[in-house]
Amino acid sequence: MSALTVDPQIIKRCQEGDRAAFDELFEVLKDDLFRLIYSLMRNYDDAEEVFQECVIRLFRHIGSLRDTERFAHWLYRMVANQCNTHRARNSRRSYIPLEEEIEVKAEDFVFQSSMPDNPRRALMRKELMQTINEHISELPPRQRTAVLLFDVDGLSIKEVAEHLGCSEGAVKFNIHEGRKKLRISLGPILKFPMDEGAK
Amino acid sequence: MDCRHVKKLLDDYFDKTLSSREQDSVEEHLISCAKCREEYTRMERLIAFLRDTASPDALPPPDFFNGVLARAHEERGKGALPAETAPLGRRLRNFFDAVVGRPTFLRLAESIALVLFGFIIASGIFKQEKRPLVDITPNHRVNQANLPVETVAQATPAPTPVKPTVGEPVLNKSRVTDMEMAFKEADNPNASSLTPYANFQSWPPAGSNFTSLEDTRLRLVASPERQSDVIESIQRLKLNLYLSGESRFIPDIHKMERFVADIASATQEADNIYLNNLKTFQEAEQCLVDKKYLCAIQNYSTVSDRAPGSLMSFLGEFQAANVNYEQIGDYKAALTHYQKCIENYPSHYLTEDKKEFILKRIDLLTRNSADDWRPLKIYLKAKNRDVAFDQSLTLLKQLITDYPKCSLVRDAADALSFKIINGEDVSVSTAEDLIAFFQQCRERFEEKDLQQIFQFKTAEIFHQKMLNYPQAILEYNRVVEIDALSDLAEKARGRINTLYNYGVRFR
Repeated sequence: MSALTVDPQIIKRCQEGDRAAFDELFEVLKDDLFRLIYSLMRNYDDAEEVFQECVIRLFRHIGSLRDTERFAHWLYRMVANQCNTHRARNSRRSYIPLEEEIEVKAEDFVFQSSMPDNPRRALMRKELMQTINEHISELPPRQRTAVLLFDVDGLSIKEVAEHLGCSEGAVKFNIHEGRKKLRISLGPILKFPMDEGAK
Repeated sequence: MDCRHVKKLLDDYFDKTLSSREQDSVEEHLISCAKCREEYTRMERLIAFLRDTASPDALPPPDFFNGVLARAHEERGKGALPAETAPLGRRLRNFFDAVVGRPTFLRLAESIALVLFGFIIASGIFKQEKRPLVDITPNHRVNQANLPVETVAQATPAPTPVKPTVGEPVLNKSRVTDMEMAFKEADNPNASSLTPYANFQSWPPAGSNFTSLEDTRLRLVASPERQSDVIESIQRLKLNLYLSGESRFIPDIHKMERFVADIASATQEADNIYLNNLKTFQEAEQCLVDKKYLCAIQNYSTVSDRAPGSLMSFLGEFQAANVNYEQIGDYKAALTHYQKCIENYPSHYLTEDKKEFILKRIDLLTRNSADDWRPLKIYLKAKNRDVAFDQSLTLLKQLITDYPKCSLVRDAADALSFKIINGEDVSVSTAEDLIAFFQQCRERFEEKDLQQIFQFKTAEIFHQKMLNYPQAILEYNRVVEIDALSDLAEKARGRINTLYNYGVRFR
């Protein structure tokens, strides 16, 4: 079931320009929206940037949403597009020095509930996550979004199809292709369970 | 169920969307096949990896959220896009038709304008300065040292080429790439408004040969030459939209860019399939030269399975049939391949001489005029509706007796019991004869699976023809006792239960 559901009354009030309603909408949505964006971006910095872009666009354009019942689809699609645009933009940035990429910073683990046992293990886990993220980034946008919404966020095929505005067949095809590509590209990593891979 | 079939069903099996029967079959296969089991384990691990790394362990601090909220309120004050007055899709479609239908000299002028436009954009005239986001660093980020690096990088356009990524669509025409990048770079505040997308459901436009992206992909496998037409049309439409100066079209231009990219990606995929198939086909031909016929057939089958409906696939099918017919003598397989050549492919793949050749062979195989193919000949004759019932039984018995090693023995046993059970006016003595015949077969055949099949057929005749349920239960019990085919034993157990319950209820 989609998490981004909001009382239609709040949306209507937002459309009438009620400032308090915008605050209310933000309060209701912010946690789930951030989690969704994080699951699609899989990186804290990117998730924060995309979150901000999405909220700005949500506030600016909610007035043009005609059917308030379709708010969740509308928002999902906007989030998916913003994430894809952000990734495309990021893929063209090649100025980050290599040292910075592999350096493990203490603050990267501030938000992890389970602190890693030792720096070596932390480094391995970070690299593992980076590798997974790189391969996910390499998927075509549609396949990436379909796989993440279905496999990670637990949406049904029908929900993904509605959110992305395509047929259920197309969603199934994209999930199948995306999984296949990831299985091939992550082949060496998938030989071991997650815990062993991070050891 | 073979590995190729199981691999196709693996996703659905994982998602538990198969019918219970298919789910069981795949499960059985996974138990027995290490390779597929490994593939399945990789799938499980992939999803576990994705999920495990997907959720943030903590949400950002309240300061971050407050900052975003304040910025969003500020941006909202600057106003939103005006609401649309008519469905955009319809307007665009009309526009598209109008553009495509223009006289040649106008199209020429547009092409020149297009090139100029691409050049202007490539020069970076339309690039806007990127607005900084809310500063989110001071309160919960320690690595402020990174900031100067990013600032410098933003001020200087990156001179390095775009990093090519596997799987991302690669466009053939540089001007298309330039324009796409320029639009993305422009970062127009209205650029990602999603409302027009919702209205723009009718893309691709009516009148184009593409009904959906899936369809596009499939069609391009067969006719890649269509891509240039479509890309040209979209480019023209896009240019005109841009020149009309209305920024609300920009999202649709983005959508078209993605459509072009999808076509390019589909074409590239089709090319890859073609090249792979060509290689496999050549390997198959080499196998023929080396007289490795089974290897050749395997390669030809791979070719025909990889891109169903394509010419290459047809040729694979045709060659597989020929090798089966001429070299291996597996006439059943040859017949299947020849029939597929006729039924599954567009008629224009068949040249007159090839068609005649294939039809002649099919005729030869089905009308049993080939002397060297007796078991199938007998079987097909027995199955022929024009052949009398008794003669048909005799032929099937003859097949089982004369060709005990032939794979058609099972089919013959099936056909025999089917005829007895479902035939009209079948006398009891005929049924008893067949039971006796099956009894002989059970004693004669050494293969346990065949013994079990004959035993099962016997039980079925008692059950469904003679209506002798106690005897049927006994016979089904014997099926269970033979340790060969587990699914048959399972089926027999089910029948025993049914008969037993039936007996209890109506006693």
